[in-house]
Amino acid sequence: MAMAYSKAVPLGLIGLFALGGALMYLGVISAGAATYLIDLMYYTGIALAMAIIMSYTGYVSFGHTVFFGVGAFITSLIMGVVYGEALKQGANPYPYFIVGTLLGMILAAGLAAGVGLVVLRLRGAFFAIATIGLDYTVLNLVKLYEGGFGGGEIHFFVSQSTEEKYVVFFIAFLITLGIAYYMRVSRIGYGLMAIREDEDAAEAAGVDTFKYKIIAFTMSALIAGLWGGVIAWRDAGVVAESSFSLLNSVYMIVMNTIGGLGTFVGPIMGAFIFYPLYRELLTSIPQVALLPMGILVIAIVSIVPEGVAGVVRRWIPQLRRYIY
Amino acid sequence: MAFLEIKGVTKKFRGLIAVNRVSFNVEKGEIVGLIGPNGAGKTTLFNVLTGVYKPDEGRIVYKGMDITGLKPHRIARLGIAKTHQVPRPFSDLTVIENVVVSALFGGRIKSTEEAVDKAIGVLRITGLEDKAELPAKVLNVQEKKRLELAKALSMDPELLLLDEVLAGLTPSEIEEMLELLRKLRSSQGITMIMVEHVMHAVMNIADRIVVLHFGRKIAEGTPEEVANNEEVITAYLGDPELALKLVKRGA
Repeated sequence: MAMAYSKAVPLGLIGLFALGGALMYLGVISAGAATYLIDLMYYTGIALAMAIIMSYTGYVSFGHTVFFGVGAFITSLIMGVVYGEALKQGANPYPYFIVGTLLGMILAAGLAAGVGLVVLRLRGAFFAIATIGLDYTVLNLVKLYEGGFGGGEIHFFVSQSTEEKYVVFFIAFLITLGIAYYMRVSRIGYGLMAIREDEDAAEAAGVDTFKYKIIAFTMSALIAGLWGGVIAWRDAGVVAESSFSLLNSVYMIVMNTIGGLGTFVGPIMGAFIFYPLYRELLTSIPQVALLPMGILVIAIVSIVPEGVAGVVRRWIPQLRRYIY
Repeated sequence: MAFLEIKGVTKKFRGLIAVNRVSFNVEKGEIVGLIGPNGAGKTTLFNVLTGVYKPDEGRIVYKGMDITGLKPHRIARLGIAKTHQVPRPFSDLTVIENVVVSALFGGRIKSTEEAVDKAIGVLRITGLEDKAELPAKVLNVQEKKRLELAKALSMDPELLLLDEVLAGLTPSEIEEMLELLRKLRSSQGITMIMVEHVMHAVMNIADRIVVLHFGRKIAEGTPEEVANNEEVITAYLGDPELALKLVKRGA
């Protein structure tokens, strides 16, 4: 009666992206294909960031674009101002990028913890609405920044090869996968799933629900901040309007919803369905790309609310070991 | 000092006094039946004991420690476990995952491996071994009741609050459950308070009975004493079936 969670999916993913990297170095796959994998790592990464609070804990956050944006903004500040000076002496950008991203992550996590102390007392829809308010508040604050190009826009000089990007995204992906996996299968994961299922019953079972919600929200924000930093580095800058766009939160929520809530594997599946589809739609019908996506989400929510992972698990219960 | 002291507890809901200055003690290893007609305040009193509600007046002293107004998870971790009247499993989790949650948190077990071992043991005791890997939502009523008990037991409770754990069970299932409860007391020395409507069962298993009526304690004593108490019989006249059972037993 073993109830071990199989590591097949996370290890398989690591294998997939490691193989992609190796093929890129060997010149077997093109830079375009490598970029496709880079983007896929990114979307899987932000889906997993959201998963900790949404899929595991059952709280929908529209605020994740803020944590993402804070990571992007702080990284850009460090790169634009501090590295901008150091560049004159020909400094290596990586220490600045790493420090900037770490600072951004810490700030994003701190912000989530602080905001969580107040809004995580709210349940369900009230929490979601409160996090929308957070989006606009922080966006407007960031836009007050007059440095750089003004209005919360910073650009800095950095250039990377596709290989460098691949390595950086792969490292960020490994960190994300490790944290998201641990947060699901560890003691913490059991607490979060109990909260998701029934918060009062979780309390009765001895779970300090408030504390665990704060932990989940904070860790979730930490990873969102990481990806904000990584994307700012890739794009050599930040534009507040896009880095803090509500759409970022929506993408994360959509991937979680498609993939299946209550699981670690579901949001990964969601990203693997969302990204190829989204990319295809963006190239073929850019003006209305989001419309079919919206229809897909509505269809999933109304026909199979448990998402892809949930459906697969219902059809083939033996797969529960892999899809958790 | 008694194991559990309930001292003058009052709980009001907007003018409705659900529990009115109720006091009684429970000794270590006792099984106390808490009975009374519907709306007597039994479940409310349980919710005060487990920290779901803060009492408006009164204190709860457990093993000499004042636990009044502590949060439910703190009380759970002190070794007080409750089974819900209407089973509240974590529906999408498997049966064993349900029990692992209680073992980890309420039972203060640090490692998930140990908690899984603990859960397996408890599922064996409660006869749910074969259902371990099923999602909790597919269980039938009796199995859900057993799961409630399994979750509570995995916390290694010293005090077990059973809220109508027999309701909805067939006579033979009731016998099995009573047997299990007796075994738990004799093997693990668990103290129990049971809210129960299945009168013959509670009269049979309880050492002592406390009767609530409109939030007040109207009687306390051995099953025989309570069954012969006139105020108790009157209180139950609103529920003739129960009254009849009580009178029969007393006669």
